[in-house]
Amino acid sequence: MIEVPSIDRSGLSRGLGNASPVALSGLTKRFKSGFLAVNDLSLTVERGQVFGLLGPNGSGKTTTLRMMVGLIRPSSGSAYLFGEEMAPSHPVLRRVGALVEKPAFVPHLSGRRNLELFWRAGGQDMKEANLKEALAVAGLGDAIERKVTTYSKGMQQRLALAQVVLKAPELMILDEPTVGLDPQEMSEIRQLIREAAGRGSTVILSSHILAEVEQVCSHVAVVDHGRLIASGAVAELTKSGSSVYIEVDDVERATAVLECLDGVVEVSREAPGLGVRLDGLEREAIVSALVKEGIGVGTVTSRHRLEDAFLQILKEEQ
Amino acid sequence: MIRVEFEKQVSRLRTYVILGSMVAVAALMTLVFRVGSPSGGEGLVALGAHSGLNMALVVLAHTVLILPVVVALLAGSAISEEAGWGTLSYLLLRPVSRRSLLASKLAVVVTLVLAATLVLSLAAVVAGIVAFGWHPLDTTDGTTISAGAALGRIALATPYIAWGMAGIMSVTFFLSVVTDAPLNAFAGGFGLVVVSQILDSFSAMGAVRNVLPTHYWRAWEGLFASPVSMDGMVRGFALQLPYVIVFLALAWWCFRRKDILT
Repeated sequence: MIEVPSIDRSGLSRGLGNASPVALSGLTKRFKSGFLAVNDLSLTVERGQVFGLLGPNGSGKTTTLRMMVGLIRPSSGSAYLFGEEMAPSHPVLRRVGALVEKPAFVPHLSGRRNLELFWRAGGQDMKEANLKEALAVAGLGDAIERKVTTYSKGMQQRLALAQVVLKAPELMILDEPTVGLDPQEMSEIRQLIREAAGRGSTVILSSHILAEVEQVCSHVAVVDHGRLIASGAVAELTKSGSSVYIEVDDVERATAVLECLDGVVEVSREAPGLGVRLDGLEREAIVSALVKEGIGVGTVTSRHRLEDAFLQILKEEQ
Repeated sequence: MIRVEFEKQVSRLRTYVILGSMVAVAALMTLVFRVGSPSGGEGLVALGAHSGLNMALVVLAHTVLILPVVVALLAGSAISEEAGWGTLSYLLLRPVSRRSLLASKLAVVVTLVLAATLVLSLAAVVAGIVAFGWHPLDTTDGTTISAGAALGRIALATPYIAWGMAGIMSVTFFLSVVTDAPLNAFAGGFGLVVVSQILDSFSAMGAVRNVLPTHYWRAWEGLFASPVSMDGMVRGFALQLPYVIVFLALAWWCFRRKDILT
C-alpha cells in the first residue's frame, strides 16, 4: 500500500524529531488554463503554532492547502510536511487531519457510517480511532445515525471536524473552518482549535476574516493573488499602529492639511472618512494639526499593520 | 480499502435497483412471449416459445440493450461520483495510494457487472422454465440440444457476455477519472455503445466492423449452432483485450497525476 519512499530530500528538516510541521518553498501553481493561483510562496509553520492564512476569496489559500496535502501538484517549488516532501498519498498524511474547502460525505450513509468508512479507508481498524472525542466534537446526538443529506450546513461542518480529530492529528489543516456557522458554533470551533493547540498540535487555518485570525491565531501570513504580502506573529503585527482612520467635517481641507505634514505617507478617501498611513507620526499629532486649522475631528481609530495589509488588498480588489 | 468500497455499494439502494431490474427485464420479456402470440422474428427470437431454455436465450440475446446501461452507469460513476460528492479529496487524505483506490473502485465495478450479468442469466433461465417448461432446446439449424447440455452452454455464454462488456467498461471507467460529473462519463460510455452498434449495422463498413467493441457481443450464439462454432467467441474475447489494456492504463496515467480540486 505504501509506495512513496520516505526518503528525506527536503534539506529543510533538522533531524526527524523537530522538522517543521509545514514548510513551503517557492510553491507555485499555474493551472492548465494559465491562471496563476499560487505564486512563489514560501513560509514555515513551527510546532505548536496556530497559523492563519489570511486573504480574500480567490487569493490562492485553498490551492495552497491542497498542495500541502498532495491533492494538487505544484507547478514548481515544494511543500514539506514534517520535513518530508509532499507527494500524492504520502504516508506522512497519517499525522495530518484536514478539512479541505467544504465538508463532503457519502450522501446515502449516516454520519456515523461516514466517519467509520473514512477511517477504515485508510486501512486502519476502528479501535485505533479517536471515536469518542470525534463524536463529542460532532455533537450531533442521535442525528449521527441519520443520513448526512438531512444535515444542516453547520452539522456537516461539525461532522467534517469530527473527521479531522478522528486521528488526533499532529497537524490540523482547516480551510475556512467557520464558514457557514452561526456565532455559537463559530466560538465552539475556535475553542476546539485552541484546545488542539494547547495539546501541542499545530494548526494551520485559512480565513478571509481578519477578526477570526486575530482571535485564534498565533501567527499569520497574508496572501493575495497567490503571493505572500506579510507574515509574522500576530502579537507583533498588531502591536504598533501604522495608520489611522479619521472622520472630519471637511474632508477636502483635511486632506490638504494632512498631505503637508511630515510623517504622513498617504492620505486616501475611505468614505465617510479618511485613511492616513503614518511613518513615525503619532495620531495625537494629526489631530492637533487638524484642530489648529479649525477642522472638526470626529472618530479617530488606530489601525495596526495586519489590518493595513489586509485593507490594502481589499482596496486593490475594488 | 476494497471492503470499504464494497460496503459503500452494498448499503446503497442503487445496487439493488440495478439487480432488481435485471430480474424484472427477464420476467417481463418472458411474460410478453407467454401472453402474446410469438410469431415472426428471426433466428433465436422466433424459437422463444419452444422451451424454457429457448426463452432464456431470447432474453440473453437482448442483453445488448440492457447490460451496457448498467455498465456505463457503474463504471461511469466510479471515480467521478466521489469527485462530485467532494469525498474524493477526503479519501485521498487518508494514507491510501491512488493506485489502490483506483484498483478498489475497479474491482467493485467488475464485481457488480458480473453480478448483474449473472442475475440476468439466472432470472432468464428461471423465468423461461417457469413459463415454458424444462424441455430440450431447439436450435436455428433444426436440431435439438438436451436441456442439461443447453444449460451448461448457457453457463458458458454468461461469462462471455460479461467479458464482452470489458471494453466499454474500461472506456467508461477512464472517462469517470477525467470528468467530475458521472453523467458525462455515462453519456460517453453509452454513446460509444450506440455509435458502435450503428456502425456495425452498416455492411459497407466492411472489415472495420471487426474492431468495434460491440461486434462480437452475440458470438456466444455459436455455442448453440451445430456444429458448435467457437470462432467468433475467441475473436470477441481477444478484441476486448486492447480496449481494456489501453483505457485502464490511460485511467491510471490520468488519475495519478490528476489535481483534485473538488
